[in-house]
Amino acid sequence: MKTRRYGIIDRQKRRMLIPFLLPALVLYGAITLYPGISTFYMSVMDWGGVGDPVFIGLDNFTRLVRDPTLIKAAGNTFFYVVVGGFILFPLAITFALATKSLRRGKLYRFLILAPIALSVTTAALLWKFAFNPNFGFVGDVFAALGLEALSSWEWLGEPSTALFIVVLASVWHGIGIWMLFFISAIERVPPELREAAILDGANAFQVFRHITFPLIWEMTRTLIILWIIQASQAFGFIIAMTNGGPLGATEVIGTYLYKQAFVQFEYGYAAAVAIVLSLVVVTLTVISRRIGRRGEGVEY
Amino acid sequence: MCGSTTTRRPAPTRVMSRLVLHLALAAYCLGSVGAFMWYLMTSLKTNTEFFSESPWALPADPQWGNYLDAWNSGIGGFFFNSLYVTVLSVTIGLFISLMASYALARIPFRGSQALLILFVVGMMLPAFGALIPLYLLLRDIGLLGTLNGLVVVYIAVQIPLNVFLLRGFMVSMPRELEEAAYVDGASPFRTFVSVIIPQSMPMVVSLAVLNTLNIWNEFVLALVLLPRSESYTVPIGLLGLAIQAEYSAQWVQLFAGLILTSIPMLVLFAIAQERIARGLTFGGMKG
Repeated sequence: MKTRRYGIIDRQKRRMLIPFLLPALVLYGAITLYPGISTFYMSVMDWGGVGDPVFIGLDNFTRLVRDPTLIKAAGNTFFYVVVGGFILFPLAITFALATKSLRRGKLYRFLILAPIALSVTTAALLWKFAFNPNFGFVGDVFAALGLEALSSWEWLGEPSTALFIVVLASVWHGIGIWMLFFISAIERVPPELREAAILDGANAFQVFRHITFPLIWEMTRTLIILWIIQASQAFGFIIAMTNGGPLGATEVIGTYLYKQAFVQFEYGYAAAVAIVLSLVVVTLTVISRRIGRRGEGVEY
Repeated sequence: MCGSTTTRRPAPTRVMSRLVLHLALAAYCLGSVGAFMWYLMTSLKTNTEFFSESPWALPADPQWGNYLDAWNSGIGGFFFNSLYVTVLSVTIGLFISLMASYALARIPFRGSQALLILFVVGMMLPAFGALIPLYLLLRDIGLLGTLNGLVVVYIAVQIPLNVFLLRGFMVSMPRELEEAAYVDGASPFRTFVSVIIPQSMPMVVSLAVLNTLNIWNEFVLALVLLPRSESYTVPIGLLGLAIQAEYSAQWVQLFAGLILTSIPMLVLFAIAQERIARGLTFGGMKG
């Protein structure tokens, strides 16, 4: 219909189609699609970057299920996802609700979001140094609280606490975004519902439990998957704070893949790890989009 | 909004829970601000003070020279590398995305929907999935370790999200101005530059802020694609200096460098908080 009415203009415009689309398509194809596809090719090869790749079928994949370091890294990634999620979500929902209802909410919101302006390196080093028992301030805080045992603890030097501290630092850095997600979810809850509940004598917790939470649950599920996608690719904080140590206690799939590829030059094997990681991520993304679309007119 | 609920229920439990929330939020924010203040104070100490005094002691004699030392220790170079990479890739990336979005939003053609889906797929692909072949590709065409190579990669990685959001924005733009330009005999390119781009400005500015923040702070690609220190961008350069500090013990200079390189994005954040907030809610959703 439209094409008939503006036929001449459209024909004129259509001549611009190729020049307008080409730069984006070429760059996107060469830098994103082509490498994405060749990772599949590389994953069935034995290759160190020089000479000809040797086809070895699925050997890289059978190797990765028997690689103890990778299994440990997968376990650490799981820890990162689960522990990080249990800290992130309750905190982000609380921040969203509290900054919406309290006076000075805007100021809190600004301060909670501000760390996102720092680079991963800066945020990671900030907490790495803060937790250093020789010159960091965290030890002094514990000493001031009378917890002498904790004041000299090597937080990042001990396998038992290192990963937890890294998770804390990365949650601190990104939590503002999650707070914003929940603020926009809560804003979609019709205020009449909440007011009606309050009139019926519900307290703040009951309103949240029976009105707000059920209505933001769809969105929360999508966000949980989004967190799993993000956290399963954890990388920057670990490289900057511990580089996988001590004794592999903070090695995750991302850092292991990076080291296999760019330190050990096991391109084929690293590509196989990348394929598995990518498949997990893409599957989760597709699921989250399904859920997201089912949600009542949620807009992205 | 808080007024209407408090007048209805002025119960003491409500006041208490508000107080608890205030205290909890204040404590959290104080922790963040305190950590940053510690950074700031340390950056003005001497290395001896840094190790001997309490972390909360004020610098006896503020060492502003630390900032100059930091700048000269390589951070000046990293800063200009980041500036170069960010400015070029954000502007070119936005222009290329604008062109593609215009074609997808305003030129009816077969396969337009399929192309859009192709771009959206790019938003799902994790960086790790393309990292190794990308490294080898840049090595083979001689762009590995060069800033221009990183610029090309950064332009490309911004395209999917930019196209997705710009196309959506353009679809909902009124058609009248564009048609008037054509009726007046303007060429399609002319119409694009003088009608479409100005009309898209609200979205372009939001994306420019978001892209700038993302690229200035980008870590994984810069780490892999810039193996030589003279081409380091700020995030990678700082990491290098942090590793060096373990041996050189130039800690206070490192702290000064960390503060110094954070200033541009902190200022941008303070100015454009709302836009960044909106952009992040979109950008984060891409997954």
